[in-house]
Amino acid sequence: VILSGFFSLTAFLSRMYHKEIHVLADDMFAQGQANLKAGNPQEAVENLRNALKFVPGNEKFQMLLAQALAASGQYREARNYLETLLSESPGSGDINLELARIAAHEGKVAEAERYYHSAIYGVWENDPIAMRWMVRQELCDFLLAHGDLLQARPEIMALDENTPSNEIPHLKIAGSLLLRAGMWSGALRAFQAVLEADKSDVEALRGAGISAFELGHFADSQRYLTRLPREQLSSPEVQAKLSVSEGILGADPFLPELSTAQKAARASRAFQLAESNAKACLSKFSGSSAGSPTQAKLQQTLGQAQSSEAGWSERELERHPDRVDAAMKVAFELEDAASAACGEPQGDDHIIWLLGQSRKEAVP
Amino acid sequence: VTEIPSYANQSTAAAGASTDDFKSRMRELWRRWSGRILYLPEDQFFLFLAVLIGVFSGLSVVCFRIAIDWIQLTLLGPAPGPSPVRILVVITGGGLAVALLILKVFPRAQGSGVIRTKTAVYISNGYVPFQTVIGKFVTCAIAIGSGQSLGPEDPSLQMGAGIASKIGRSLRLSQEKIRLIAPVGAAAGLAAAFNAPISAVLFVIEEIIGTWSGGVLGAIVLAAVSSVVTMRGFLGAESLFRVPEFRVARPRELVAYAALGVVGGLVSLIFLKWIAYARPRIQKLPAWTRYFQPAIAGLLIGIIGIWFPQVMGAGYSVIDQAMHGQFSWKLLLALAALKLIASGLSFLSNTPGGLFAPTLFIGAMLGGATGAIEQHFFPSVAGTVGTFSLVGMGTFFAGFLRIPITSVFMVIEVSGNYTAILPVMISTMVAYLISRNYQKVALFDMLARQDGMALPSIEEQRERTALLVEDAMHVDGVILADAAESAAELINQAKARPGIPILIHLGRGDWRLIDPEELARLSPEVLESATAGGAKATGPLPTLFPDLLLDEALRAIGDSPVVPVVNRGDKGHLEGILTLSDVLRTFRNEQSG
Repeated sequence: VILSGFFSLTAFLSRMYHKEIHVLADDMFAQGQANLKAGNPQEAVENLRNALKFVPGNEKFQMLLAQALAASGQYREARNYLETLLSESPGSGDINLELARIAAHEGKVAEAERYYHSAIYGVWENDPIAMRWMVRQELCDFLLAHGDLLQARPEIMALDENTPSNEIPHLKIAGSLLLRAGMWSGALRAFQAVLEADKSDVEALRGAGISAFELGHFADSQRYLTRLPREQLSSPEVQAKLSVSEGILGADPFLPELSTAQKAARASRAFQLAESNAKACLSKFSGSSAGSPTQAKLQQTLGQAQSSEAGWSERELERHPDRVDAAMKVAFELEDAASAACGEPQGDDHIIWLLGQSRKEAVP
Repeated sequence: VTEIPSYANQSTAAAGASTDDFKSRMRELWRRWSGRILYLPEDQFFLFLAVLIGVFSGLSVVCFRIAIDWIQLTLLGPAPGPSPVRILVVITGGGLAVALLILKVFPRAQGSGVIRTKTAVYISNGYVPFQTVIGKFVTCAIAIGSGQSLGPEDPSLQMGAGIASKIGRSLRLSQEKIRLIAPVGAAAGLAAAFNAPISAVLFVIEEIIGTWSGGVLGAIVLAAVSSVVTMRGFLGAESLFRVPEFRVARPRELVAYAALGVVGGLVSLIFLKWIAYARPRIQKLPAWTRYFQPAIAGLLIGIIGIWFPQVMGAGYSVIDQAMHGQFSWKLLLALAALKLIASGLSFLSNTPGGLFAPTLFIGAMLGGATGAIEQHFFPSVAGTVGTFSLVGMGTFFAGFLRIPITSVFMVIEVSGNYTAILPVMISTMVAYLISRNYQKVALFDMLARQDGMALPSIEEQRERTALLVEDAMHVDGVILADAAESAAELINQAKARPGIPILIHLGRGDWRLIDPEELARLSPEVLESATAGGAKATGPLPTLFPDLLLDEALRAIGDSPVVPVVNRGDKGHLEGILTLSDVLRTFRNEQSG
């Protein structure tokens, strides 16, 4: 009887005590959450430490405390809580992500990568697919920010593959990552998918324009970039790409809509430009006795071009439109050789050279 | 019970009849089973009782912990850092209230619970008045709840002992069992307070009873386990502290922990010396000052607490923060020093409460600070500041309380982490050896002696060199006869060495004593052909082995004038002989140093 009475009394006291303690702890936790959201991490740390005094083993409280500590720049302190939590739940996505962020802040690349991967393949209680996507995006961002393209590219590819085509914000993020990593075709595809849903999406137009430009699709690039609003057009990068695209479109003799005469005129002009550029380049070395292999190559290419120069006049090309390809080939070779000997060409020569590059990529 | 009728299809009258039937059956069942339990042999009943003691102790500890927290929340409020005025008023007022209670209402609640329990075992035949349980509960809850720098473990231990003693007396156990029951309750109380059953069992063996006696060990283990199970049912099964696992990658890293042992040993020595010096002096102060001592101590602690509130109370949450590396090494060091001062003040002012939690606190802070400093100068030192805090707890515990084995297991149990075992073992042993070398008397023995009690010192018992048979036996002074040897020859030997006993081995460890006078009485004709084997001999004699304790030998000697000491592998091989006078002489020599 005494035992059961004592037991009942203890149970009653314990229930009341726990009720009171949890109310206090939850209240402090809520204050901590609010302070963290409001950007007062130090106050949040105090609230959460106090909450943990009442329920010391509460993992949710410890997790938020670690986040608050990290937010207030106390990375070592945050790491200690997280490592304790990790030893209890090694597969937790949340904990691994927080540790990854701390390692990233501290510039520990290998460690951050390890934790990010553990987070990606870890356990997530709510919406694991979205969380894994978000973590991978953060990892890609981190790797790109550290200039680690080798590690970043496979991660970005994986992210792109796991991005549903109807998730517009995700597609835009994936597209911009692909763009930053120089994965132009993937970026173009992603931005085109966005533009299918919203034709006037500025970010997508800009991304698609840049990626199309890099792929040598100058017509597409011009088409996308000219649709950008005025304030976006003033950006130096967009402006440069647009003017180059327009230049190439004005010089390209291969455009199907051109008449034979127009094609001949463009090809002849390209040849003349390339020839004079090659000559100018060679003249820079006229005083030097021993020529370098690049000079010799340029000399040889120019010699070959000049030997058949008569056939590539505007009139000849108009008469024989089948020679346009050969004329342009020589022009491209001349620009290539000149660029190897004297550096990347400028102005109209640059446009001819870029056109040649894009043709090389398009026709292997 | 299976025959209880179903009520569903019966009338009310029938249901009433069935209820009566059920009640009578239950009464019969209870009578039969309670009878069986009560009439169990006392040894088995004692084990059953240990479980009951454990449950009662566990419940008491739960209520005690709740009471402390509630008082703290009520008096100091839930918010961190209460106002300075509130701190000073609460802790000073609490000190006054506690002093009045222990001097006027619960005088038996004074003093260390460990010493009171030892007193019960060795002096008062297991008697711990129940008033002590209530007194400890009330006064300690007020003292710790109001912010005195003491812990709830020692009072829990004493409450457990008091509950056990009350149960034992109520059930009229034999005197022998009542004497043993207090340590059983003490283990239960301590186990529930620490959530650490192994440490509690080891502590009671290492500090209170000093032996691994099978009779009491089973009861202690059962009581500790049942109290922890009960406590966990209400307060949860989590370890007191949580630290991440770590690995000692290179053996040389252990040097860092040995250094921590040195620091822990030296600081524990300072704490011990301070208490040893100040306590008798404070006890000599006029009696009226006792009403104000806890209040004055409280006021001083309150002043510290205005700037460093972490030192107030038991401080478990602060230890947890230290283990998570939340403090700089300077703050850790300051907290260790201030907690040492605050706990010393609380303890010396006769405020009821224990020193276990403060010891853990100081150790954790000291460990963390040492670890942080070591890592600053030797970055390759493995382990986090948290790990050093954990190891530091055990180190200071071992150095201050002088219970090395308990300290090692306590660290493992309170953290639920086995990975720190090697550093803890090394650090603990270093601290223990330093403390023992420079402070000859352990804390609890010192406190008992200051209170004028001659309680046995378990540490001294442990350290005392046991006297063995080989220390007392002598190898000469005996004539060893061969069974085939001529009796005449034997007489000649006896005549040449008068008064020397003649021993003969007749095989299979059968040793006998031949009386030379009996041989001498034989006629010359008989003597001519007689052999030693045929001579009249007394025996068989008891035999001893050289490695037996001299106390055991004393029991074995009996009336034998001489006892052969033989080899364990060959009982026919004589190693020496032992006489009663040899034993007495050896004891006398040992006593005279």
